[in-house]
Amino acid sequence: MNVHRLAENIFREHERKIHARTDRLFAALMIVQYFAGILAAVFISPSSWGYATSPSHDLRIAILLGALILALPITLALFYPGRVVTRHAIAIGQMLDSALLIHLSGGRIETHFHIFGSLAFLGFYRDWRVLVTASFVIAFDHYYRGMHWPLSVYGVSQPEPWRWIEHTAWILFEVVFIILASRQSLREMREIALRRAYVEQVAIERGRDIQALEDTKKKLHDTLESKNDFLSMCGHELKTPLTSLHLQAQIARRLVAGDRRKVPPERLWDITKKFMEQTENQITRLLRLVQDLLDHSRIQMGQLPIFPERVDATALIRDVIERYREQAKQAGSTLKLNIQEGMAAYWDRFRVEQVITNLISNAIKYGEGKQIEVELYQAGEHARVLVRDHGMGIAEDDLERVFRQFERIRTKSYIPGLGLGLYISKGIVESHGGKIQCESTLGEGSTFILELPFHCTANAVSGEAPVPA
Amino acid sequence: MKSILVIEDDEDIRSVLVEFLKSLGHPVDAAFDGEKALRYLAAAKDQPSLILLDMMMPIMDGLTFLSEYAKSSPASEIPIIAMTADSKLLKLALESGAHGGIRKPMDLEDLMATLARYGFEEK
Repeated sequence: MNVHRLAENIFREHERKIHARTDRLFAALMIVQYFAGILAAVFISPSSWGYATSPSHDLRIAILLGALILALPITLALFYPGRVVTRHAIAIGQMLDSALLIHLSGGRIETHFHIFGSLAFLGFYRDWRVLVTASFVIAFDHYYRGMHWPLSVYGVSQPEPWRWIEHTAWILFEVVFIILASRQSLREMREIALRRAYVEQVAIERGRDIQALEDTKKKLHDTLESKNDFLSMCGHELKTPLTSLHLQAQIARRLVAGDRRKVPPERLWDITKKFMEQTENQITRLLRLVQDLLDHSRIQMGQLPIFPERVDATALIRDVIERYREQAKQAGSTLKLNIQEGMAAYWDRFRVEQVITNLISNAIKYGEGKQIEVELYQAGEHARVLVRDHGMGIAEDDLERVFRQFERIRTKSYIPGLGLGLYISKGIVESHGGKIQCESTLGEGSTFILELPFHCTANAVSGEAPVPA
Repeated sequence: MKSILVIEDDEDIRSVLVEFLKSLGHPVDAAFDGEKALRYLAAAKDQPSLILLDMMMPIMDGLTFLSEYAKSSPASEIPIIAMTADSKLLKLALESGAHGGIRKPMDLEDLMATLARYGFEEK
C-alpha cells in the first residue's frame, strides 16, 4: 500500500476514535447537567426570579424541557458514537441546555460562561462545522429570546436591541480561536499518522524481505539436498559396474596365475570370453552414465547442441523397438506397434533415439510386465509418438515432477538409475522445438506423448535456468 | 553337497559371482530379488548352506527378504551374508537376522575369507 494512503487511514482511524470518545464524554456531561438544571430550578430560580415565576413552574421546565433537549443527543452518543449527525445533535443539545441553565438562573450573566465552557468542550471534536452549528443555535437563541423574553436571557427587562449581537460577537471571538487550535491539532495528527505509516511500511517491507530470504533459503536447502541425494545415487550407480569389473579382474588374475588351480584350458577360455563380454557391458554402462551426466549439465546450462539430418522417423522408432523387444520379453511385456509408414523428418538422429529409448525402457521398467503400446502418427506439422504402459502409473501429485532432474518414482524398493532420463529427454525434445508430456493414473499406467516438428530448427537451445547458487 | 544361493539383481555382478563360485567348485544357484529367492527357497528340495544377499534390489529388497524369510522359515539356520556399500544398511541387516556382511565394492580376498569362515574352503 502507498504510504500516503496508509497515513490517511491511520489519521481517519485516530479522528474516528477522538469523535467517539468526545461523544461519550458529552453523554456523561449531559447527564450531570440535567441534574444540575434540576438543582438550579430548586435552589437558584426562586431567589433569582423572585415572584416572577412559581418554583414548581421552574422545576417542571428543568425536568421536562431538560429531558426534551438532552434525550436525543445522549441517545445518539450512546448508540451511534462517532457519526457526524451525533456530534451536531450534541452541539445543538449542549447550546440549548446552556440556554435552559441561563433561564433557570434568571438570566444571570455569570451563567453565560457555561456557553464558553461548552464551546471549549465542543473544540475537543476538532471539527469546525460543529462549532458553526453551535454558534448559530446560540446566536438565534439570544436574538429570539432577547426580543420576546429578555429577562430569561439577560436578566433585565429592557436590553439594548443590539445586545444579542454583542453576545454573539464574543462567542465568535472564542470560536475563531478554537477553530485555529483544532486545525493546528489536525495538522499534528496528520504528521503523526504519516510517521507511523512510514514505520509500518518499513516493517511490512522488512517482513516481505525476510519472507523472500526464507523462501530462497528453503529453495537452496532443497536444491542442496537433492544434489546430495543425486551424488549418493551417482556413487551407487558408478560403484555397481565398478564392483563387477573389479571382481572380474581379480578372478581373472587368480585363474591365470594360480598354479594350484587346475582349471581345464577350455573352461578357462569360456570364463575369459564371458568376462570379456561382461567387461564390455560394464564399460558401456559407465559410458552411458557419464554421457547422461554431461547431457544433464549441458541442458542445465542451456547448451545442448543438436545436429539435425534427414531421418526416416518410422525406421528410427522401429529400430529402437526391435532393440528392446528382447528386454521387454524378459520383463514379461509385449511391445505392440501402431506406426504410420514412411514418415520423413529432419532431426538429430542420435538425440531422438535417446528419447525414444528412454521412454521405452521406462515403460518396461515401470510397466509391471503388461503390454506396452507404441504409436507414431502425423499431427499437422508434427510427428506424434505415444508410449503407453499399463503398469504402476504416477500419482497426480507426482506428475509435474517427473520431468524434473533427479526425480524418480518413489517406491519402497530400489530402482536403479539416476533419475535424469526424462529430464534429458525433455531437454532434447525442447531443443528440437517440440514438447513432451505425460498422462497417468496411479495403478493404471502412464502415457508419454511426444510431439516433434518434422523440420526442427537447428541448434535451438533449451534447458531451465541454472538453480540459484 | 553344500550349495550357495546368490540373491542379486545386477545381472553382471550376479553372473561374475556365480562363475567365480563355480570355479571354486561349489554348486551355485541365483535369484534376481528377494521375492524370487523366497519362492526358490520354498520350492528347493536341497536347501542351500549359505545365502549371499544384495541389500538394494527392486521388487523386494534385502531387509524385506530378511524379515519375510524369518517369518516363513523361523527355524532356518542357513547363514545369510548381506552385501552392501552402505554401513547403515549393513547394521540394519545384522539387526534383522543377517549373520555377516561383505562390503561393496567387493574384494575377492574378503569374499573368500567370508566363504572360508562358513565352511566353503577352496576345493
